[in-house]
Amino acid sequence: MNATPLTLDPLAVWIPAAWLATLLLHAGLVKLLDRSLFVQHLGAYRVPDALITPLSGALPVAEIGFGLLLLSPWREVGAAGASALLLLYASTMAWHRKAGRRLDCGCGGEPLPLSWALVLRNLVLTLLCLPASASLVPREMHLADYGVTLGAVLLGSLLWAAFHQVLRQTRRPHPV
Amino acid sequence: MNTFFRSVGTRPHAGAQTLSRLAAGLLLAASAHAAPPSTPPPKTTAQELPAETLTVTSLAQAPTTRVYVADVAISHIVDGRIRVFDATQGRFLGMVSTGFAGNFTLSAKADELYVATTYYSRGTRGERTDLLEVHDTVNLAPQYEVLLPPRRAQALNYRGLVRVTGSGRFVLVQNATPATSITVVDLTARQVVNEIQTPGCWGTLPAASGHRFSMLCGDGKVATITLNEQGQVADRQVSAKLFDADTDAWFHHAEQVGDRYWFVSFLGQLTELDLGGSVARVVRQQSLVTAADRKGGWRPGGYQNFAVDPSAHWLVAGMHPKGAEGSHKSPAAQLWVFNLQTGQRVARHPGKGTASLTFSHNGERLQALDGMTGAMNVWRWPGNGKLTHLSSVAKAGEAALHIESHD
Repeated sequence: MNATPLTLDPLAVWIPAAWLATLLLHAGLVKLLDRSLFVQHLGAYRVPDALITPLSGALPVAEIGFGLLLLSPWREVGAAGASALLLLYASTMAWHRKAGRRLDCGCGGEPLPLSWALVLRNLVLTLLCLPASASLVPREMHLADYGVTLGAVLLGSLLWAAFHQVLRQTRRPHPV
Repeated sequence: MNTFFRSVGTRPHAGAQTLSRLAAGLLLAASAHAAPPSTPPPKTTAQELPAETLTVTSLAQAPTTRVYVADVAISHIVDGRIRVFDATQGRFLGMVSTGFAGNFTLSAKADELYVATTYYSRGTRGERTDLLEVHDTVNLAPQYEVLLPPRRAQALNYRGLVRVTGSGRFVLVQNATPATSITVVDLTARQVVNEIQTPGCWGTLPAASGHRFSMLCGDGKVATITLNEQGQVADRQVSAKLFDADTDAWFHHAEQVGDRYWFVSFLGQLTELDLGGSVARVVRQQSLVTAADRKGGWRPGGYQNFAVDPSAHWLVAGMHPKGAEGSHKSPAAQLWVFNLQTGQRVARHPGKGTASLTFSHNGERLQALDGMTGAMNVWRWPGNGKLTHLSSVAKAGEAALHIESHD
């Protein structure tokens, strides 16, 4: 059986692609700009010592690479790479959370302890990779479309920051 | 009550006399009230007693041979305090209120106390306010306070949870949400200047000078952070793996002489680190337990569970036998004295339930808190491994586990 490739309106493709690209480019740059902090995060995540140095370079480079690919004609490759990274991070967070370890997630900004909400967040982001990799309905992108995409990125960034701030302020019992 | 009834029963005569005297007194009192006075009462000629005024004294003239004993007051934890004692006489000198699970440290000159603590708007509930409170050690009075992000670790008293950098400029406060970070307070500007992410690491171990500090991390490494003049991270480095937290974790308590730091593991491995550089360096390692000791299950235990004297010549550790997983906070059955120059154990003393230990800065006294009774025991330290009892306080606190020396 041949899978029918998903075909969507350009806006429905470019908005998730731009969201994911912004997220990955930001995440990669932050890690590269403070690599020693990222090394500490990897240690806290119990990455084996031998892998810490290579991963401290490879992960942010991959994030930036997939972020750029998402904005290129090889969008599908970028989306596939992004989903692989997001699933890797989600499963690592889930493993620690299941073991009762609430370490700093390393999500940028002020410290934020690991939670199931963060695992769910990554799974939702992984789902966004699907429309981001879809084929485009043949329709020309107009200036208004670019404006909507830009607005969506700004709104998405705001919601992203708000989501994390809510998690930081949430006080609930944590059964360990 | 039992004593009263027994005394009545065994001495009926005396009891009866007491009762009859009491009855007579009551009758007299009743008649005095019932009968109208036949003559006006005599005019009072005696002068009235002067009104008493409450005063607060200072420690300006008090002996400097003092210790500060933090009491987390765990059964009413919103109400912690630091008690100040004259260590040589065992005399109570004063007290500082430390709020909810307040942790403290002393300035290098011992002229200021820094207390990181929490207050809730309704006592035990309500809006949370975290503060760094600065008290002077002459009047034990608050000097000023700095508002902290409400994330500080509300933990039992440990030395590493609040420390001053070697420069004396920044106070470092441990946060836990439980994601870990360090709040940096600039004492000159009297404000928070930074919150440093310290994933997987805990506590602060300041270098002897500058704005540098290190931390123990869960992956067995030691992270070292160097701050710039603005309190921002200028350098961050991680050592090689120095211990395995699963097989033989290190106690968080560390002893410092200059840049030299000593750590003890749960199974009794002693490690000396040099934390003066941009990355931690191992100086020396040895075991505090012999094969025979290990057979008896002898392990270190307690909170501030060992002390190194200021000359870095002697180490005293609280030890307990039959140690097992989870016994690492057991009070000492014995105090073991080691000569750090030779690495040899030179003496064993009764443990006195010691959970926390510290030397005076002049190296003349060893001061300990009894984790079983809350007592404080102070010994003269002649520098040969022997202990001569100097003073004791029967109850230095309800849950007193952190002791620091003034002199």
